[in-house]
Amino acid sequence: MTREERIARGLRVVRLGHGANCSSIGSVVDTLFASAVVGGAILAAISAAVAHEKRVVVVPARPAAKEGEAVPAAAADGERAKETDEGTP
Amino acid sequence: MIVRYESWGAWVKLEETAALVALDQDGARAAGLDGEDAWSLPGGGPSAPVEVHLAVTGKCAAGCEGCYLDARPDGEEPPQETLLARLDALAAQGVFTVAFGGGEPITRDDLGELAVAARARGLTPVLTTSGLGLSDARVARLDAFAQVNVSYDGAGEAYASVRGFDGARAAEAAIERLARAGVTVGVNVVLTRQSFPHLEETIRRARALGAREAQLLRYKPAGRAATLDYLARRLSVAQVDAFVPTLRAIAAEHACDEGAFHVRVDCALVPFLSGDASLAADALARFGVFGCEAGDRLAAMRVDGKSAPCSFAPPADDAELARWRAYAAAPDEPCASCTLRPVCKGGCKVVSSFVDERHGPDPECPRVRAHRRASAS
Repeated sequence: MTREERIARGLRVVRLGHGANCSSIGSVVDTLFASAVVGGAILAAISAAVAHEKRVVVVPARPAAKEGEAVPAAAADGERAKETDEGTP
Repeated sequence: MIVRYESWGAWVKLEETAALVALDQDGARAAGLDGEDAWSLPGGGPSAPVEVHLAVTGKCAAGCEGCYLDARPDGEEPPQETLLARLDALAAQGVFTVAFGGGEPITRDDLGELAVAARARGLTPVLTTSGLGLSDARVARLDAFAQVNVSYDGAGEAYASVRGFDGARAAEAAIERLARAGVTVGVNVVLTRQSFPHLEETIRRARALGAREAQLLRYKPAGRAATLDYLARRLSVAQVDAFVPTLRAIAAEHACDEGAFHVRVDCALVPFLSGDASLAADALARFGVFGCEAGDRLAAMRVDGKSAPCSFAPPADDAELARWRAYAAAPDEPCASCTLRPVCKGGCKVVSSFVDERHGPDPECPRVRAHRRASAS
């Protein structure tokens, strides 16, 4: 199995586009009406894109801000994203 | 790529392709990613949202009848340093996409600077505007946005039926201007009983003007739209039933499978997909269709800095956010037994709270309607 195929097997969710607009969370739906061949091609293209993007930035996952908190404590502790240009193996 | 590890694997935001993907641990390892502690330590509570709506101003002179925020010309406008601190906070939480909204964001002279600041923090900024007053000079400041959506409910009559005035020509000029400048532009189309009959023509027209995507939005009873008039403006039962066939027709007409044009639906329209039994939950989940993610994968930050589950909901404390998530995780019947439930999550709570006065099944969902008819008989 190729690396792209292993990535494709691990794909749980593929959200095309940027998703949000100012009011709602948006989802591309035309892919639902596409043929299985087209759907498979989209997943393959995304797997290849995951495999080939070299720059990797890791960001923390933190709970949502509380009411009235513009800058939660997490933002003030100096922790920043880890970045590497080493690429993926 | 921007990676956020979760107990189940990782969210990955691609930078060269406009996509957000979720990889399980095996898939992430295949991509050369290692979640380390995130994968080995016990999972905690809810993770941060992946998308946040950031209101950058409460000012708007358009006066749309159904404005969900009740934005006004003299609305509150946070100073730039306040918004930069909010962007810092969102970046620290691991948010991926920040949707700039308002009010009317383009009234801010520093809008372009804010978009650049979001990029510098690793966030993907997108923008929604009415297009009113969007000059070439203002367009030139928007190049840091990944996408700009213009509110466009149709030509003339259709637009006016939603917003109470005819701003269609200004919106059309904005779409053209943005496309000409090389900005990726989409349209937001609010679906009401009055605009729905024009939908296919609206999208045809928007695409001809340069739009590359149409985002369909359900009309919601929030802000100035939270009146009894909502009941006359929401989609009719027949229109809800025609929703999926209409989507299919649009996708076919615009050859969406070739990728040149896409159609998106908002979270509140997902319950309407239950009217088509051929749409399987696993396919919706695989292609990242999000239903009510309010207070979970989605959050909103208002002009006053308070967080809300979504742009249409009032500010919420932790207990209220937990209540929103709890309903989505364990909704009442008929949602509980619905195959789309893992995606839909019970439908729009803003609608159910207004129509039924409680967090309950979305009363306009075809499946819920059928369930209630059966129960009544």
